[in-house]
Amino acid sequence: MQRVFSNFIILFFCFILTACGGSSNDETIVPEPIDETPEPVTTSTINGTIKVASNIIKDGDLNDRSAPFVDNSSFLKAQEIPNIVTIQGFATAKPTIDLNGFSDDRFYQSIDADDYYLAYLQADQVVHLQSAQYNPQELPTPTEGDELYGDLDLSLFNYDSEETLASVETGETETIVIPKAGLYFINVHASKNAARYVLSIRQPSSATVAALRSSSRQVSGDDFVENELIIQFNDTLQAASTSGEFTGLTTNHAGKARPALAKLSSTVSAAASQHRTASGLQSLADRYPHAYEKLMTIRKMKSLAHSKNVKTVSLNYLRKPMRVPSDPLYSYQWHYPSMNLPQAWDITTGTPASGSVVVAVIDTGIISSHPDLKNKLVPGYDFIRDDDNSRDAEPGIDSNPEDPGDSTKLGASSWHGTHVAGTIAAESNNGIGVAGVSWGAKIMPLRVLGQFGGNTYDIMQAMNYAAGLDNDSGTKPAQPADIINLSLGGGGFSQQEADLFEKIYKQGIIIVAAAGNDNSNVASYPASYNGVISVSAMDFNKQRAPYSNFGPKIDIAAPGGSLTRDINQDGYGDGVLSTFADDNSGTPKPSYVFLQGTSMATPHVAGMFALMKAVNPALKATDIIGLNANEKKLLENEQLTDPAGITGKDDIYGYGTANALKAVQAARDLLGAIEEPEPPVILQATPASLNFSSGSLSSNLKISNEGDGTVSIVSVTNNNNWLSITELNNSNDPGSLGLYRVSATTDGLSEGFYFGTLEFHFDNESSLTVNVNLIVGIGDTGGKLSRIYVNLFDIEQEAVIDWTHVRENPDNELVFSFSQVPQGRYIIVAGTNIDNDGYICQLGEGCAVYPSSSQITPIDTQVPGTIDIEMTANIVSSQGINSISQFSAESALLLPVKQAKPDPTRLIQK
Amino acid sequence: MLKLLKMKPCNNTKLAQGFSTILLALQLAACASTQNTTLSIVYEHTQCGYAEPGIIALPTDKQYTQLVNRLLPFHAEPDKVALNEILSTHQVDQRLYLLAQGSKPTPGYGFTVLADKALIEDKTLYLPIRFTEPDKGMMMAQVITSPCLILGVDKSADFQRIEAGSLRLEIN
Repeated sequence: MQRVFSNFIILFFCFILTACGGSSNDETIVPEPIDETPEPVTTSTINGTIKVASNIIKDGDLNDRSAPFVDNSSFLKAQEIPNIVTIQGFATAKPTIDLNGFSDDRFYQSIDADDYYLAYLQADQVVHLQSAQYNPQELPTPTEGDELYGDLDLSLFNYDSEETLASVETGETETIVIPKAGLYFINVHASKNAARYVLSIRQPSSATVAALRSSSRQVSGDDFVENELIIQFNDTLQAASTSGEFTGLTTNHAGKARPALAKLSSTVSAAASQHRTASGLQSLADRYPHAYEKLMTIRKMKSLAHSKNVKTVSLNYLRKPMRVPSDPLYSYQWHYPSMNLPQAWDITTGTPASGSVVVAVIDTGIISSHPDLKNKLVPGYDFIRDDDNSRDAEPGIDSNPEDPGDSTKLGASSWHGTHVAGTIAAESNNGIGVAGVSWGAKIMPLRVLGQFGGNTYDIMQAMNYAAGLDNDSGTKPAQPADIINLSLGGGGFSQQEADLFEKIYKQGIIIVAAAGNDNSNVASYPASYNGVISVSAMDFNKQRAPYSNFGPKIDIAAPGGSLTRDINQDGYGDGVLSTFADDNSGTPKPSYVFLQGTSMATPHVAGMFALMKAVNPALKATDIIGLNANEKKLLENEQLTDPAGITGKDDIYGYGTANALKAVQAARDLLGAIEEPEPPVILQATPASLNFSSGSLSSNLKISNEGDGTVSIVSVTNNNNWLSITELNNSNDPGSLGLYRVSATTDGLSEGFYFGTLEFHFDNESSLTVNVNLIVGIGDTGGKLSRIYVNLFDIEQEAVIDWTHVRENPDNELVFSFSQVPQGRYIIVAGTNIDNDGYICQLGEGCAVYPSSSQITPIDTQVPGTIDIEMTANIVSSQGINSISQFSAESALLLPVKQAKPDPTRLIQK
Repeated sequence: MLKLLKMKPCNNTKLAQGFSTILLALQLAACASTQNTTLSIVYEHTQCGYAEPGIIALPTDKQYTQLVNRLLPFHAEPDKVALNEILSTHQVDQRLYLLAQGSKPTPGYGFTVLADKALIEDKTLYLPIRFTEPDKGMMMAQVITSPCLILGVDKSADFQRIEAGSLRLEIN
């Protein structure tokens, strides 16, 4: 403050030397008084009017006892405010110290810990609190100048729900973006000492909201566990607890080496009960006890954040938005969280906007009666030609892909295809068994593996069938597969097979194959063919499974499991759990089993691609992987994986470990890239949005098509009772689809910000929304401040020579007058003293200064007479929140002004 | 069930393959006491969860729950009960041994029991077992398997060690 005051002195001399430079010359020409003549009138009268900038109001319970008092210290007494407003306020957590010596503080012997406001807020509006002279530290024996350094907290409560919104910022400013329109209580709480504040509610601005949302540290009551904090102490709890600030906290350990989980019990104590009553929170506690507990938890966290005994403190956040299926065995499917599937399921569970994603499983066939698969199948085929190998009742290839088992012994079959299919698309969230990677995908079971395995020719026939190409079955599927899963391998390179795989790849079908289980770097086929995505296996720790093949042909790693370890301590080896069958009784019965292998890793990747296809049905194999290493597609660009091992591609993990969340996001991003370039119709509104205020309540609106396609408007939806729209003749503008006159009315609307939309519907089933903003009753002036003290500052004497305070005249104007003002040059500084500290025009207080940016010369009374001046008061804020009328730079330099002697508060008694 | 008795060399001789029939006959003649014992195939499975090959003597009491849960995780309870009963029934007059082939890279691995009797010679029980594996060059499912076989041996049989191919078990 001293530095600012110095600026004032410098500026003062500036006035003398520049703007007031002629004053000394003027004095020399003042005529000598003549004794014989009546004493000439040498003084002037200065009459002033102070207009308060619009949308400014005052807190109802300021520390200035002369200000009108309206209690707003509880929910029940919340002060109703408009939703575009700047409030000068004051709050104190303890009785103030009477530093001006007159015992006239309103809260000299009481507290004003909470101010409550009530406003109807629109979505995305911004509520901003600035504490003046912020200091979060406890000051047990404040002395002059520091008693008003404190810390304030901002929180909001939705009137119609239990939702609590609070800022977890612990600094000078706190900001909350309104998530949805509604009636909100706004609470400013003094957590330390006392402070003036500026509370503002602002109009939404998309850029501001986006920036605030990305950086905002506001929390909703749904975000964390009530009455729990995570604290890391700077010292042991025992050593730290001597301060008393940890009373009511119990921790699970008292060490300082690692964070402790602390439980708060203070909210149920007698002291807490007293606090509820004193703070006006009793009604919140009664109506929404959980909201109350959450608020107390936040406040405790913010309080401890400033403790010298605490290294870090945070809320115990709930990490919950991930979608978790209801399948009872899901808790054993560690391999899904391992690849961020729950997060991906928040975006899609695999059902596209239309149709289905089909995954061909070329394998041992399927147990079609399995309850987790029976609803997930499309017709398949059995391509095993050799009857001994096939073991089924039908000779040769046939249309029945049912798996009869690949062993002659009961209990010895692998049921491999059933397990793989379950990983890709087991019926999920159905309360039965396990979940699949893609809940919405369909399985096309194609049987090629019998009791002796399979061969290239049969597999090629199945590939042809899956791709909708000619094959030995003489049939084709109604819908070719989008993805082909090959959890098989062996044998060597086949040129015919390589050619076919490349052909299918170029057709856009994604082919995924197992890298092999030989713990070797020998290329395995078909995984190693160009255009085929080769999948290696990871264990629970995302390390290479001990059996997994490796080498330069590996493209991606996914969970394949390792049954030899139970790292997650679930009582089972860490394999991949999926659908299975048990034929020990002689008939295959549905069951579930943990298996391990690159066979198990592969369907995780196939299912991940199915999720991507659900998000972006246009996605093709050529978008996923290049035909050679020089082509950089999503996989090579590591948009589907997390890095593992060395940067870029390595022999163990390929391009990294599968990340389903990144994959679906990449598919979505690609969708935008595909759709953007040449849209046939580009709808445009001119202007893009409408902004109305009391002086401007109507505007023309033009809707046009800037694209090449054809479209016309079929209807307009207007659900705002304060808005009307009339179609105008647009025959003179052939490029226009419609020309409209949009008008708003403020009749019946109270002051504030209103938001509405106009929706234009077109014959191509698209629509265009135009936002309409309306500000009612907020002009240049018309705000309300508490008592304004006016000081007449003599430039030459460098002193306040007179003072007064404004009064309201019959025209409801705030006026003041100085009479018998000697000849000279003067500055008038007027302002509020809401904290009653003897200073006006401090941060958070109202202030008006003459001269101002629009009136740059001081008041000159060299020629006696009456001078009328007009001033505009605004609230001093470092955040520039007063958009209507900003202080000029030179005025800002004058602030704050300390009244030396006498104290302006004495003026009350004058 | 095959009724084939396979002769095994005495385990105290170091006979290499390819020895002549005459030499084998001489060796057999020199062997001490031999006897046969009846074998039963109690249970066979491809996913037994034993990563290493070996022979395991199963508990002699009736508490097979842990083994059953290992072999049949997430199977329906009646299946588990059924297997438990099978094991318990065999356990009345048999000792049970589990032969594990260890982890294998694909299906197609397992056991073939060549006879329902086994030779005991010099306190060694020779199990007539052939280890099977998939044909080379075939495309196989890429799932790790861990085949196992549970055999029942008459309780009256007197032996101190078991051999089945490369598998060995010393019985204390």
